Amino acid sequence: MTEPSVQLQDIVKRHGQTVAVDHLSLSIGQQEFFSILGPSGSGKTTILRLVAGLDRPDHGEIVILGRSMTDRPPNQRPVNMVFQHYALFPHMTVAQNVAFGLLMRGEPRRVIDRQVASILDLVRLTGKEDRYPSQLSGGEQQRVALARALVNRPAVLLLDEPLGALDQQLRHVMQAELQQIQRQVRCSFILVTHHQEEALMLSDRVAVLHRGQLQQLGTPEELYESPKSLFVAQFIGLSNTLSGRIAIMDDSTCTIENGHRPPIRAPRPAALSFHAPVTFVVRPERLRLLPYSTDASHNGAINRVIGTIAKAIYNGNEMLYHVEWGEGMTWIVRTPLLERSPRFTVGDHVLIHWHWEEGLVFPS
Amino acid sequence: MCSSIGIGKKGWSFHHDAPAFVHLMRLNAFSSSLLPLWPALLFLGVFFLAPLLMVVGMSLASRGTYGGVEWALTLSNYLRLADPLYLGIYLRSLVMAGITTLVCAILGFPLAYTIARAPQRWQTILIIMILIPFWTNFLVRTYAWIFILRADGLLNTLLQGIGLIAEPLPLLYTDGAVFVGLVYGYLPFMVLPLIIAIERIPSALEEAARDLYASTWVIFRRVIIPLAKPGIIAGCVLVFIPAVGAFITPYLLGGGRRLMLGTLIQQEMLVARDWPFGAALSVLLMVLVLLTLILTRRYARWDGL
Repeated sequence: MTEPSVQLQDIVKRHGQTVAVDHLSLSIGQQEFFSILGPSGSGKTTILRLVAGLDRPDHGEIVILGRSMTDRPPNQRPVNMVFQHYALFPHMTVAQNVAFGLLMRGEPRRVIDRQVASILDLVRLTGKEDRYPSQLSGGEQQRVALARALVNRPAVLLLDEPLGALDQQLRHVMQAELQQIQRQVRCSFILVTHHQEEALMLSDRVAVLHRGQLQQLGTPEELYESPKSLFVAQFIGLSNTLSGRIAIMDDSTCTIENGHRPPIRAPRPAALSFHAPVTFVVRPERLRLLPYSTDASHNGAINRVIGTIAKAIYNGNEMLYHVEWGEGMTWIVRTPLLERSPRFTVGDHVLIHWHWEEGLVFPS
Repeated sequence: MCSSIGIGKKGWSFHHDAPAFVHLMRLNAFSSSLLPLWPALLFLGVFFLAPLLMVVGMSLASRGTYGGVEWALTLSNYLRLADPLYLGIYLRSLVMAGITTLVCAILGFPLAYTIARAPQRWQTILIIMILIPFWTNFLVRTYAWIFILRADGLLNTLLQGIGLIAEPLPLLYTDGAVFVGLVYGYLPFMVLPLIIAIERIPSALEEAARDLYASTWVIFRRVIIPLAKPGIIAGCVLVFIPAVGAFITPYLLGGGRRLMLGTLIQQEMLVARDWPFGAALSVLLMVLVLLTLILTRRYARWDGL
């Protein structure tokens, strides 16, 4: 494996009394599209600022391309940033904004002109060189911010919620564009976002952060399929939960009881004892619905609970059912719109069923 | 920001749109839309337009033998304005006001920047500290400078005490004393609009510039100063206008010997008892101020502000 582009080693950063980043270590590969995902206040922007050199860590080392950068000012780091609200210079044209970094580094005019032209071509802004930021749309401003950072050919590009200010549709367009640009410029991207879908769609790997601590690091698939904690399971994707206690255990499965609700069979979590309080999680798309009247033969591997459809949402490519069951619980069930799959309406009695392997169990 | 020099959240601003009376003329005087304006028009008429017309009228009269006013229409006062004797005084006033403005800008900018970027609690304290002198009468504050600058004053005593000088320096009644007084008096008028202008510049812009390899000095020159320009212009206008016509400061600290426009008007009016000529000088002062505003507006326009 090649040398990592950025290494964070045991980083601590406090803002007054609060710990923004708590003993965090990360290693980001060259040309990797890496995302830092977390709710607001989780310390993700602080990490970007530390890598950029805009803040100094209270403890730990920042290594970029094998060299320690902890004490280097921002202008000596091979890193550039796309700021949250773009931070474009309002008194400069698009071309002047993009040329700023090259000008500061003392590149000759000829080189600047050529590189500015080529980067504006990459972000499809050719012809808008003489516009001022206020004359551009949100998406265009976003691309200027991207060009202004990329033109300096950084080893690492830092993006702080770059798509946060865009509407849903533009966001999707820009996501695709970001990915394409990353493949073309071949530098590593570190993206900070609170938008889990964005992080999953774009990234090679995602770090989930909560209260300054790393919750889980992995590929989008790993995070979604096998979250290591309840926080990750609930933060990424939709999940249905049920809290209870472990009643029966065997080698690979356990049974969770919750009052007089039917017991649920699930994979047995490691290092949990009999009667421990747990939270059971299952993804909406892993659940199946059958009409209540169906008299399926008994099978111990399949969980079934009886419920009532409380809400049926049609969104074009699937049905989202809110199913009430077991005294005030509402679970969400996602079913693809297949020709043969049964449709339900509000008030229908249904049977929710799923294989025990689809569930996840976490300590409460 | 396009056609006005905004200087305040509190809404003080110089609007450079077409003057209000142009809009008024387009309105039918009897239309109901003009009705709510009457209190304002009455106020402006009594307290602004009438005195102005009186001054202009007076400037067209001539001085009576015993210092009264003879209401004979004449332009002689305006012809007298061109006397080389006075030209030097106008020039001196403009130069003094210009340098005062420049010094206020140079001193005020770092001060305003520090305050604008200070934590909220400190910001309030610092702004109050700038405003506190206003609670004291300007005349009293100028007298205080006399006590500091005169031969046996605070500064000379101090310098002699530490053995830096043997004889007291002639500080009072010099151009230097007038400058000190003017800069002291008008610095807040520069600093306050600057604070507001700088506060409006997102600090992310400074960080972006830093991320793009700019040094602190370059960030100031290329980002902060250009974006603070509305505040700089507003501050300069607010300092320059009163400084051109300043009276108390040159009179008390300059000893009234080397005249400026303000002291000249006072002398003509009260000492020479030539009210018509004093009125003509006042009209000239107004014209100078108006010209400054027009020039500033031109300058601001060039930069698309």
